[in-house]
Amino acid sequence: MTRAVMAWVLASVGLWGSCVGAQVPGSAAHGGVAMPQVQAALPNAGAAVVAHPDAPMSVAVKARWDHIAAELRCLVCQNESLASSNAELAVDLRREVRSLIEQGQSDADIRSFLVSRYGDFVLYKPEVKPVTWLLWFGPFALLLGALAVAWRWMRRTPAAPEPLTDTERERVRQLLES
Amino acid sequence: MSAPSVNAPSQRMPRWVFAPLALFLGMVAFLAVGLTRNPQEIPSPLIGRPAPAFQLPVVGGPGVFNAAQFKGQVTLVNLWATWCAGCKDEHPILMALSLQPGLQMLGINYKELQASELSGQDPQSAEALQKATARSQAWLQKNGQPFGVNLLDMDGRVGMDFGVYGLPETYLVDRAGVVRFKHAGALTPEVVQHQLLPLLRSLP
Repeated sequence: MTRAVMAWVLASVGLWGSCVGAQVPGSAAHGGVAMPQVQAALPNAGAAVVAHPDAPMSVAVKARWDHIAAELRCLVCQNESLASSNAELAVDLRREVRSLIEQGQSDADIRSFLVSRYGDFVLYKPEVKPVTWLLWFGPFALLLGALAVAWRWMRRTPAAPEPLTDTERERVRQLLES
Repeated sequence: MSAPSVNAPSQRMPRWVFAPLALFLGMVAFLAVGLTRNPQEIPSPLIGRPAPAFQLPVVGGPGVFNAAQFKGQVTLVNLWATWCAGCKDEHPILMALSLQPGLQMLGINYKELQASELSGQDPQSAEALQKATARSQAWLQKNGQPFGVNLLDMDGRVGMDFGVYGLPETYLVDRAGVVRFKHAGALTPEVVQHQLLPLLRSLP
């Protein structure tokens, strides 16, 4: 149990390292997963072959981007959205999503592009389907169940106290008279 | 205190007063199990589906590898890079697996040159390819060559089709070209013993 907690903490620190771009020594070995660190790519006029994913977008593309990017989760830094993460994979995926938007693909197409590769995990709001029913409706089912139980307890008429036995009655009489 | 009448009320204590305690213990058990699970293990949607189609240049050799070449052989696909620490950890295991009869070993060197090294340069440029090839070959020469074929995925686009989110990652593709297994992170003797080898034996 203690070892599990330690491993979990180390893995989290390693992950955090790759998310903020800091070099945490040995983090990759502990976490078991490594991603390349990203550095602030300077706009390079000479070799601008690869469109930088953070280059200015047209208004129309920007509107769609804002709409979809915040719903997507970064796989490397699991508590960051794809839009805000600095992990190199997030940069690649931003570039990909942007090019899909520019190709005029629908939000559903873009979502299915990502889900078919990374699973429902990339979506902050997974689709409602049999596999995710428990996730979506579980809390409400739990709440309803708790309400039903609470309702029954509150309506429960208190059980009448058991009648006293003759010896008890005698003892009460003695106590009262003493 | 010995009088039975004093103890009588506690015998009538309803059972449901223990419900919150039971609920709490249940929650502790649930969370304890959750804590021991690895949040990096995201189930792959690729399992049971055909491996993505791709074409990549073979490191050091002429020609390209086409995903159609998966057909007819069981293939272990390992995504790795020389900058990845876990890849070095698992390398002895890959070397051992390469001796497994009837298993094709395919290495995909994923983004050997990282964004910081490319600084805006095209990862597919001849210069970048040459640099990555040299590095990939030197690393394998030093640590051993487990791969029958080693490919270069310079821009990480094929890795993306595989759903790679960290290195190393390992996939098992069956004779029909269907992905049967994925492991994210370094392979361990336990994973090989308890998951990979039994699966390998069960494949026709």
